[in-house]
Amino acid sequence: MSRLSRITRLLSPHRRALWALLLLWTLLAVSASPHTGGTETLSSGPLLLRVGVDPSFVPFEFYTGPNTPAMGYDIDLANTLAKRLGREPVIVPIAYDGLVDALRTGMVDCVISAFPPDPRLTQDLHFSGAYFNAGPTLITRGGEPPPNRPLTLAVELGSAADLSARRLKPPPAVVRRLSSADAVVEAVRSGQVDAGLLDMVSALQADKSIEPVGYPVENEFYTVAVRLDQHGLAQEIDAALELLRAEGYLDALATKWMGRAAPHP
Amino acid sequence: MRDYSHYSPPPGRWDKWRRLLPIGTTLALLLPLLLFRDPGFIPTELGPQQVVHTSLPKLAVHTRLTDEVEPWKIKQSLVMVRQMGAGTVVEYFPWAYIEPAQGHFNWTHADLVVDHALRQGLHVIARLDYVPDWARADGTTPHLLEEDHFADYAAFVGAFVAHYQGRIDAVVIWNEPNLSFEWGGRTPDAAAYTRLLAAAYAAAKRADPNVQVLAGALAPVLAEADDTAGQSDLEYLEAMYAAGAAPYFDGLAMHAYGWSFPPDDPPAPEIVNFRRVELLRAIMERHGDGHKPSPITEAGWNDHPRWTKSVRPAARIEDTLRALEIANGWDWCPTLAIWAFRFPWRSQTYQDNWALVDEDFSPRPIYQALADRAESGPQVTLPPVAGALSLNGAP
Repeated sequence: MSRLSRITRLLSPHRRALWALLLLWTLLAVSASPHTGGTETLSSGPLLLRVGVDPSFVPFEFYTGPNTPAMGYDIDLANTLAKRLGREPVIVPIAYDGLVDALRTGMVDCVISAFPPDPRLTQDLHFSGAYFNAGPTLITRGGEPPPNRPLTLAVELGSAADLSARRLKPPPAVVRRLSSADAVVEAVRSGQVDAGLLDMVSALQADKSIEPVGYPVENEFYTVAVRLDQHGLAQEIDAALELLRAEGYLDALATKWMGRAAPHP
Repeated sequence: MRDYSHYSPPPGRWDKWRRLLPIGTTLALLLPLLLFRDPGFIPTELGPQQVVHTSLPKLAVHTRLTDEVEPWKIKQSLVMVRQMGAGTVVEYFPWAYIEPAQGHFNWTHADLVVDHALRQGLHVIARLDYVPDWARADGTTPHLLEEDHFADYAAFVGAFVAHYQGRIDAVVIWNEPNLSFEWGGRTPDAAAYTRLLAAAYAAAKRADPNVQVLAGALAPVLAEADDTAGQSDLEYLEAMYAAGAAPYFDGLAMHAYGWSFPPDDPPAPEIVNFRRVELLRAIMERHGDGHKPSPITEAGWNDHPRWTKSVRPAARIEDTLRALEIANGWDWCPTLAIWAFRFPWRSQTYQDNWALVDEDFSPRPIYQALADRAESGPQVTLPPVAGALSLNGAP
């Protein structure tokens, strides 16, 4: 006699009915839980992937003029991801402040908008693996390794790179705080400093005589955000992103929108 | 036969445990209290009395401790404010939090803020609004105060001033009443606000004749005459004077945001920039109120990369430092409070980039720049006792 049969024989018929009801209720609850993928479709078309973006952040998502579609790194990524998932991409422009609420309320299926993961939001949202790291990175002339001594370093005053420079170990010999990213590039190009510390986007977009050296010294990841209850969609996006990375697609996107690919870790 | 009637067996293991039972039971009952006690009640030492040393006696900051529940974080915020060289904090004390039921006051959190601020040698300007449930209809916004509850608000202002008599410098009556949002979703009404101001003024002065009553700062906005979302700050102030507001405020709080404009840009009625406050001052002077101070209770620039009204981080720092220099030349401006010191958490919006320090208290470069500026130059030591605002800033 199986263990299950022994247990059920120990229960009174009344208890057995109660357990059966409980099981039925559980099955119904599971089947009624939110769909693991997107639920929106065109009336007679394929499944949609509604992507929330705030088109105000060059080169990731932006408009070039009135009545023009949004374009940029994230728009290309959204379109490609949707195709890989067998869905029809729909770009939904939303102000940055509203992206999380749009996702929570199901107005969009995911957010692809240079959006950093936030541990405080993980009770509601799933963040994919990073597709871009915009953190501060060292730049030198021609990408030469910086000298093996405390550096003279240029940063943009008040920027994330400025904060990182204050935490560098060993500390730089001199930190020159300049008023713009362009001034940092110029200081490096003209040899006024050993190196600069710039966000990865500015570093990639800089004069070609300047090269980023290695991976960012601190991370600022951009990820795809999905509602936590859309577990299936989240898994599909994670897997597709990994494939796109392996195929060199993310490097190609960086080259298209920032002039070159970021150094790999 | 042996008589066992008086026999008691030697104490065994169980008997020893049984003797410990009352103690164990007591501990078991107390355990949940220990585990689930409100951390807010863990005392945080005030520490020794501090004084502010600074070369920028007008430097102030709007803290945002309203939503900060942990006492040590309240203390740490105020320690860092002092270390930055600011001598005054502006803080928001919501009426609904302090008087959740009519006539029943809970001063716990407000006391934490004021006690720690004073211990750090800081002066306090208290903004008072946010209507409790009992003073408004169900389903209405906490910014809605109907006229038949003006007396309740005034009574709260009186109670607040009495509770902190001699310990706070000023109270600010409401916030940005020229915005529909802040006026309970209704069309802003300067005459009605003036009646509220008059009631609050009388109650505050009855409680402490020395407290400074500041009319609420007006939102610097451009609005057409038929705009229901807000009214031009310039027109609203004129309307307040027309309604007879002059006797009911000792000073006018002001908000001076630079948006994307440099601080030196000249003011004009059709532009919202840092020096727009000069236009408000001109109105005050025309109405004979040029002698009254106007503390700037919110000011600053934002450097969020995703907001159209923001500036680059370097410009935020340079503009803020320059704004302080400009304010030094305004004899009517005793303090310039930067919005905002710190938020307890990130909202993942542009609002995050008003802060001077991160939620984990890491100072942002603008904090360091202000601290460096306050440390350089001739130092002033601000006395650690709350008093009236003076026109030249340094008490």
